[in-house]
Amino acid sequence: MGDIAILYLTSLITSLIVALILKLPLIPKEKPVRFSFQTSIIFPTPILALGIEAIFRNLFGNYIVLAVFAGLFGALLSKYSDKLFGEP
Amino acid sequence: MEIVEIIKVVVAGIICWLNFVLIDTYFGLPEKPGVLGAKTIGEKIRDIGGNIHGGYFMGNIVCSPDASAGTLLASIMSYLMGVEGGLIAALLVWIGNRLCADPGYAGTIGALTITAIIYLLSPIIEAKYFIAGMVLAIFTIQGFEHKYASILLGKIAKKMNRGE
Amino acid sequence: MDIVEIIIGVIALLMAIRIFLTRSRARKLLYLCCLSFCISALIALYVDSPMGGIVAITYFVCSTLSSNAIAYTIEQAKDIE
Repeated sequence: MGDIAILYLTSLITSLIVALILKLPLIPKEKPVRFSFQTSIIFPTPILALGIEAIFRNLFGNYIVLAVFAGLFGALLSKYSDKLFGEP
Repeated sequence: MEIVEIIKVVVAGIICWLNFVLIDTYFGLPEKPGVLGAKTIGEKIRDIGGNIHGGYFMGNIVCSPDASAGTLLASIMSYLMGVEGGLIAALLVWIGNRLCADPGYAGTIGALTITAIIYLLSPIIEAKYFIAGMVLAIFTIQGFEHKYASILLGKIAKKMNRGE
Repeated sequence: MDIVEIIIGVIALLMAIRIFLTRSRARKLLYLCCLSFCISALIALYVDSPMGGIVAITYFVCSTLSSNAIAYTIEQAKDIE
């Protein structure tokens, strides 16, 4: 149970660090926040990273390298979501 | 013991109903139609005597995965895979939201909150009762009486400052 | 059959009947939305494996996308009229 928590924590922290590097804002700049499509460090980024890590852990096993990649992909998906899904 | 199971389904249904109605209202579903299609449904509900904001809420449920979808899919995945399933559901609901041109707040947060609730209540009410409970909850809004459902949703929206 | 599956199945049947009986297209969409919830839940309950959950989610998101397109088109058709 403990090592699973460590894996998720790694992917969470990695995603936050990569999001900081990619210059995502802390909270979306457009107000009201609930209608804004802008991604930020607190909104989709950690959730995407944890979801991707859940998929990786169930497909491939408890490898910490995959947790780091999950965090990386989470932050990338968050940053480039507009390019992937089209401008709303 | 069937009667105990039915009580569990009803209690889970009430929890799911509160989860998705409050989260969806907070994130503005009654305020305006998120996409063009929600406008049609909202106006039709207003025409049959319902509340326009409740109508926008119900239209928005149809046109994009919102907290109701998040609650259902997260309870399904929690039943099948536990807490990790809830996380996967949140990820997939967010992707679905973006595909439907919706920012994704309501669906994702609805999924995460119900995952936490299911995890906390799992000794008392198992996850599969939440699946039936959520279907019951969405039935009361989308499948039962559209006019009165929209009036109720409109009242809740007004209380939470999200309509009118 | 479990009580959970019975409840979901009854609601699904009710929705199918109501879709058939309603005349308004917009209200049909609302009943259809509820039906998609039921089908998605039944897929997950009967397949009973993680892949079943993925299939249920994919079905649900796709049906929402379709309803989105249908509702959008109904609105466009109204504007043209």
